[in-house]
Amino acid sequence: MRQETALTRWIGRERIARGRKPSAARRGGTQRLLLYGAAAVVIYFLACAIVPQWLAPFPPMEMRMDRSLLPPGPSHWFGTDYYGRDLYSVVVYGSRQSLLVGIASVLAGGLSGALLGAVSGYAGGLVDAVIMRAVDVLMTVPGLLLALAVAAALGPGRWNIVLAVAVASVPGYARVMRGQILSVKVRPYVRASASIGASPSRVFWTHVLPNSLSPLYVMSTLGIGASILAGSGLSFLGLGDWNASPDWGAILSQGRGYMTVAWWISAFPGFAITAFVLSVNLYGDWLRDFLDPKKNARGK
Amino acid sequence: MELLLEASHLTVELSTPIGELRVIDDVSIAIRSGETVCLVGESGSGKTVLSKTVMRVIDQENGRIVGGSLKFEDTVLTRLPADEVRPLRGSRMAMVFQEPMSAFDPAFTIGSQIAEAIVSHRQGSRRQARAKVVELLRKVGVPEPEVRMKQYPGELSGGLLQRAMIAMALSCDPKLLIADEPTTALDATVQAQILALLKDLQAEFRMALLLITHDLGVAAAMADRIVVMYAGRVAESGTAEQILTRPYHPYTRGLLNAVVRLDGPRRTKLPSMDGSIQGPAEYPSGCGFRPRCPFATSECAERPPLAEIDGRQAACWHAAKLAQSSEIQAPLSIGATPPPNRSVRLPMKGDGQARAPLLEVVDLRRHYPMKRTGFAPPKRLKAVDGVSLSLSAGETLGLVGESGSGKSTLGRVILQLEQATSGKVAFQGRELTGLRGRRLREVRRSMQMIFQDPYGSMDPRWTVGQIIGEPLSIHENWSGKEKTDKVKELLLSVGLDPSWRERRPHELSGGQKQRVGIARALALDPAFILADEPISALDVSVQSQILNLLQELQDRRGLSYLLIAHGLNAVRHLSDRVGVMYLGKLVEIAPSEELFRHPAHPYTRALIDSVPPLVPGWTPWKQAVGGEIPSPLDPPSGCRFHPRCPFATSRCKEEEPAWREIGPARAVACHYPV
Repeated sequence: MRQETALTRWIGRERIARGRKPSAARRGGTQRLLLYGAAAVVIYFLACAIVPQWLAPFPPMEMRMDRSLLPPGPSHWFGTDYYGRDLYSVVVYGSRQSLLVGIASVLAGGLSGALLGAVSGYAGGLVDAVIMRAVDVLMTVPGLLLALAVAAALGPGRWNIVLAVAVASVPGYARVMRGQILSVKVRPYVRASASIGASPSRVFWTHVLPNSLSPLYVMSTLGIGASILAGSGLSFLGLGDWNASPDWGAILSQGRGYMTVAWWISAFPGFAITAFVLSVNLYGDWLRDFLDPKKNARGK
Repeated sequence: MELLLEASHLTVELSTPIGELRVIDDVSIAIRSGETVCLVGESGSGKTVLSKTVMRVIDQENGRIVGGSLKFEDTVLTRLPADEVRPLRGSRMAMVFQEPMSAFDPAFTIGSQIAEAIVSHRQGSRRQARAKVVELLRKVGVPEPEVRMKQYPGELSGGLLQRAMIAMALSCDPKLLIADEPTTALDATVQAQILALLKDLQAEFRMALLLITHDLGVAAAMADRIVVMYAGRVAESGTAEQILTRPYHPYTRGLLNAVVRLDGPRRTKLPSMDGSIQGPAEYPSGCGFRPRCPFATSECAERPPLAEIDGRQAACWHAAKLAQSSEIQAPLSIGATPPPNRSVRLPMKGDGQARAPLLEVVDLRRHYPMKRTGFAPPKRLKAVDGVSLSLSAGETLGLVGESGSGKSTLGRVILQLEQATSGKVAFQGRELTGLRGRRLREVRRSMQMIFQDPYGSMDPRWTVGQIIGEPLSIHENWSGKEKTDKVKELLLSVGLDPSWRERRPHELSGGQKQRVGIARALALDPAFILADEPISALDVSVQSQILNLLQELQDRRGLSYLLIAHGLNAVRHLSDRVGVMYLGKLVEIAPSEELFRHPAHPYTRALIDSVPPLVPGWTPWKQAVGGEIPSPLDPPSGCRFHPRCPFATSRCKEEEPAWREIGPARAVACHYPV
């Protein structure tokens, strides 16, 4: 064990000592290309969410029964649905709702979950026991069911969906954060800081928290995808914003019934979700590496 | 003796994210059957990689033999396909690892893992294997082998596990046993036992032993021949006698000089090599030791061949010349520079009794309540059980003892990083045990700590400047400029370049990191520093640098140290007085010199006897104490040391010996002090 760490540490040191260039250049090729691609995807969908009217060739609600269930082609890139709506336009307009639910609920759920977990893990004792039992209770209810209950209680609406999905994601973040804090708070440098005379709150903010965050980056970028799907599920059940255009999840579930005759109705919103989640996730990984002092020297 | 293993001009490359690193470069060694060869070198010298190459385990670690040849008995290993190497591993050559705790799978019993090795090499059926396991465990000195073989690795102590590991290595009667730092993770007392065992077994099984170690004492005790490695190459190789008494290569010489001796002068400046070993990406061209070598000339830019000189081999252009010079002839006496400025510090000790001590610890206890099992009352783990000591200003008190003796816990309780169960700690006349919150943090200004693991004790996200500046940010309300100036000054005082403020810990070597750790401890000009194993994680040549630094800082600033270490040499060298702990109790305390010359407690004597000196052919370890330190959960009755004590009587079993003075500043807890 010690041998291994010594070896890896030693090689790690070499890498730094030799300069970051070789490693950056080596990883650069494909990695950089992927990152650029991901950036393009994210920017494109953000644009869709902000100014769909510039990007969609048709109004999303325009029904043309004579064009019902057309396969993808030059005039309708993603094909049309049963009502003859242009699927590409629907997806473009749906991105606003999807991205909103995905990002806002991860922000809300991630922040509050992380805070709960961090407080719980760092304080320990009774505080830990109370918070974690509450989280455990939340955890026993399946996520979607919990979101459903919250949404049902609050009534339909865009922000209620965000809140519902956020609440359902809190236990996961809290658990991960608590575990992370528990492992970081016993590291020697945390003890060292305390031995210098740092107050517990200083130790928490300067050492424990910053060193506990990295798994959260990955988890929250993955969570955006899950949240988009969860939000879609809720809007599918009629708990979403009835006035807005359908989000990706809603289109996807709408297309389920046509799977055998018109695969494109489900496939394209599905691709949209996958592409967006994958891109965001790549950035999550990149962010984690960027913030890792061993892999990247900031401020130099 | 026939040739067993022969490596000639072996070159190994590891593929890493930054490309191919040449970690073994043109290394030739030969091992004859039945002999012991020690590979000596600092971390990063390639000695472990070499041992892995011999077993061809290196293939699994992205390594490749790119040149030279490797021959074991009649088999050429260099290009042998993997499935033809496998039958050799474990049967004709076997390996013992450094960390017995992680070398065993925790999910299987010891017995089944050893039996596995026997069965997989078709040395017998399961039933025969079981019988053989019992026999092997008995041979390696595991008590009650029938019981032990049914236990899981977690239930055995480190020493027993290492014995079991050796039993496993021996299970198929190997011709060559490779032991990679087999005793580094163990206490000195247990180390002596394991070394004795290895030597006995080697004679009995008539096998060759390739022992990898950083500890020259171990090499001196075990080796027939010693191979010194540096920067992936052989620096020097010869018989133990040759290497230890007349080293030709400047590195060997520096290494030998850097070792702190139990019989050397105390408190002198230790001769030490500058710098530290580079990693394989930075191995210099030409002679690898050139950047650190005091004798380097322009000639050294070209790589020196491993040349035959006076019946040994040395890779140095100047070897022949240096061999003639008187300087290198007797390394054992080199470095006896007179103690500097000791007169400044000495008076403090003399009237130490009269003055109020800086730190006073009275009957300190730290008990950990254990979880209740069943209906029995919950047990208490008595990590520190009634320790009293005092420390005056400018003094160094060393604390020694095996791991599990409670010395680190004592240190933490003194610094109030852990709550005392009872007893009191007074610092500068102020009672600390009751202090909480802000008042306690205020006291921390003058009590600082140096940690064992310099890397782990620094926030990896921070720069060196931030790390050293942290205590200043906490306690002083300074401007950025003032802080930067102080940090620069601190870096200078620990011998680092002030411009290194911007670096991060992982960019520094072990010794440099420890210097940063020391600078951080000094930032607030404390009066007292607790140094918990400050050098045990460092390389030999770096250890002496750090010891010199600690000593110099003490002389300059009048610091008091509480030095906790298991390395007796370092403790003796630096300390004015030394306390010996066993199972949570202080068993002896005495002025350093006296303690090592005339130990009064049998345990102290055992500790001292278990340190291998740097003299070839030392074997008295068989008299070293047997057994291992018991669990502090169930300490033995009476004198806690009695089960391991060679002089124990029935009185020791029943009556706990009182702590009594036996001389000036000397006290011992033993019924029959020596």
